[in-house]
Amino acid sequence: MPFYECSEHHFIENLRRILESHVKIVVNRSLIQHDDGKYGLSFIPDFEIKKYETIAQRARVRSGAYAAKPFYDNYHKKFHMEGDVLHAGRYHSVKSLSIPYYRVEYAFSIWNDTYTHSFEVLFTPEIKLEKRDLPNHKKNVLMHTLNFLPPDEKSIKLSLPKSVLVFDVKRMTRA
Amino acid sequence: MRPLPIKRQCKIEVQREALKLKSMPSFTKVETIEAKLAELDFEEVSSATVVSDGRFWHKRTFENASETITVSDEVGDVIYMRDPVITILGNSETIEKIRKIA
Repeated sequence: MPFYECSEHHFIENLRRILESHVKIVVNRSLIQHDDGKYGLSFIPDFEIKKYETIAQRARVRSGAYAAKPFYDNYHKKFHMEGDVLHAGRYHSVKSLSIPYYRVEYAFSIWNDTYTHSFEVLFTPEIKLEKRDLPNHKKNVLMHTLNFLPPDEKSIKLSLPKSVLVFDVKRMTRA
Repeated sequence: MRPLPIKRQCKIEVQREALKLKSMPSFTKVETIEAKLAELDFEEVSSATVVSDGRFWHKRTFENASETITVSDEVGDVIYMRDPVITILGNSETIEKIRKIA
């Protein structure tokens, strides 16, 4: 069974052509949360690293990212001291701070061909000053705390007409 | 709550049915698209960083009373011309207005 990967533009336009021919269509959607170190501070564009500039510094894209000050990563439950490597640009195995993300996949099948569009939506960092107990027994220390907020539902879905049935599925397997 | 008169219910149903799907790449600046959306009473309701086709995009969703438009603009150091992708779930009139500036 042929399997075609589409960009957002191609996927929507293919769907529009089907809808205009009055064919009823079912679109499957899978949404899986990942935190596998695929996205780290070294490789994200400058636009995204600006959200972390209170706690992290990086010279340029694909260079190492370091902790600019001590902070607590509340999502991964981990302390980072000033100067800690958060993501190494050269050594891919060094990933001490990974950005969680949702992988979203849309697919529809027609005449035994399957057309898919997939994308990944990064969680948004939220950096706040909070009181924390440090591992070296210092209590109630005011320090920066990093949280990751899941993206808004509107950002993780494609807006489709009501005539399109969208079925949520756990996983899409390719034959 | 008093139910809507049949005629009004039908009108609302027709308006919902009229929403069409359209996606188009744009060769104009995102600012121009934003200005047009503001003129058409669209408001930004969400934004996120999305990775698709190996590229990073700033995806923003705009809504008015019944229509939804997403504008995905590529972010990062790119040497080629950026072409924001506009996806519309709206009526023909809105699609035509956006197509004219895209």
